[in-house]
Amino acid sequence: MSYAIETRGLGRVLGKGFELRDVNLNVPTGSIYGFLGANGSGKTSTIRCLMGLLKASAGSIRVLGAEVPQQLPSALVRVGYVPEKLHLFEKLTVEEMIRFHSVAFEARWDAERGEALRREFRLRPDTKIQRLSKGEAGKLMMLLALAQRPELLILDEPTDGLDPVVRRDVLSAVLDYVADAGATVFISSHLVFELERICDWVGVLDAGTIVAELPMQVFKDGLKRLRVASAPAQLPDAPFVVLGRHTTLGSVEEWVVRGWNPSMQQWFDGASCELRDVIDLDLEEGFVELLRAARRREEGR
Amino acid sequence: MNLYLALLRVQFGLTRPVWFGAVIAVIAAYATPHLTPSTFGAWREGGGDAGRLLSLSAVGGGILIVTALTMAFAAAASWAEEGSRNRGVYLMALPLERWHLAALEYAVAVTLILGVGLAMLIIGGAYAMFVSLPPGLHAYPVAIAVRTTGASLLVLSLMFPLSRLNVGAQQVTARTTVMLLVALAGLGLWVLLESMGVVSIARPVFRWAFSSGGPLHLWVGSWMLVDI
Repeated sequence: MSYAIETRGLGRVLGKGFELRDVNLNVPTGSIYGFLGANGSGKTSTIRCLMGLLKASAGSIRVLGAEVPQQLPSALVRVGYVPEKLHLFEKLTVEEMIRFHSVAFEARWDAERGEALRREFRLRPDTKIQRLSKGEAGKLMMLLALAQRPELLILDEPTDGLDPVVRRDVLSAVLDYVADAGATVFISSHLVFELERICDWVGVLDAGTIVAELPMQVFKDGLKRLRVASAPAQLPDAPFVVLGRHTTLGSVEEWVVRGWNPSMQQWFDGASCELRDVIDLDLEEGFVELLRAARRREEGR
Repeated sequence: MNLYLALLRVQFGLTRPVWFGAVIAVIAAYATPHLTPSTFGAWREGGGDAGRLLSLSAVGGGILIVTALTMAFAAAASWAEEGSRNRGVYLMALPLERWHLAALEYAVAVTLILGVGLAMLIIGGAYAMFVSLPPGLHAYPVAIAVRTTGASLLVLSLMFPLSRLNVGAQQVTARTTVMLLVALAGLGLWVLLESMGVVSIARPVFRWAFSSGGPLHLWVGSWMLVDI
């Protein structure tokens, strides 16, 4: 498998008591990779390291096969980037900004797609960027990123704060582009439900560390809530990962597990406890339990 | 259109008041001696006092000194304002080597200052051509335009590397503030030690910097728009 983004042992001190630690990312080429994490978990800083905007203090970064920061320009010319906050020249008009961007990415610029997206997003060419609404600014940033025909789209909370209609427009444009160009998408968000619909890989960052990275289907399929009666205190040989457990009624416990499949029911016979129920979890519940488990592990160290 | 021209266009659009202001200041510098109520029209009628015109020309020279400094600081500061935030993020995400981006930004700043220099040459040339001066006095439009432009470019070249120091830093504002405070504290300490006679660095340093061949020599000498 080839990777559009690979980091090994990425580290960077970001503030008092907070740092990126040993971040290992493997974003498969052609995938839509959801980069999940709570607010302040280090997602934006990781992305800024990938884009060469922040210098990593440890580890290595490869983006589209290019070492960052040594070969940064050869990577950036193939990357469409939509940052978390508006980063454009606010005094320019939409048309002037598009023209500037088309010069900067001259070799790859798709003027036809740019114009089609401008019309689709209903952006008036003579409107100054500082007068755009948040939704319009988000659309303009997406237009610029898509019309440069990127092989990799790096989107940092691209729909945060947007209304549902605009969010749908923006994500539809991304999906249309991916269907057309087969690009890789690396999209960070804390809106789990949004990523659940579009991503085929997921990486979860918590407190500056990757706590899970796996195909979305595996993450979703294996995430279950189990109701277990007479559960033993220790589970040394469980074939699944117990993310959390708590007692509900009497001797019945609820376990949140990852890596579950139906054949594992047999394990309960040998463990002298009774499996009462298996309940599907959505990604958001799984995400929350995953973070809780990671934090418990961290506190236990 | 290449990236240099695109960046020039953008930067001119964003800092237009500075450059139009500079051109207006140049016009004001030339006009000042002639628009003073007590002297208005006097020289044209041949009744003016050459000494008074020279002293008023020195005021015009002072305006040019301020203009040269303002252009240099504004040109350098306009790239430093946001470092790796906001539009700084946009520029740093372009597929360019950092040195290439810095060179483009510097070239754009130089071009804008040269533009004002060219305007100054035209304004000074028109002045020399159309304004009657008392006998024995001459306008030096080329010399003063070259001096103003050169002095501004010199200060830009000193300030520009400072404006790039924060690029890539996370805490731009905090880091800049710390640097300025350290610089100010150092300057204060230096002045204190000089005044106490503990060290005597200022005079030799200034003598070297402003002497012929020194890096700031361009700033000394005549800033007169009209001279004998």
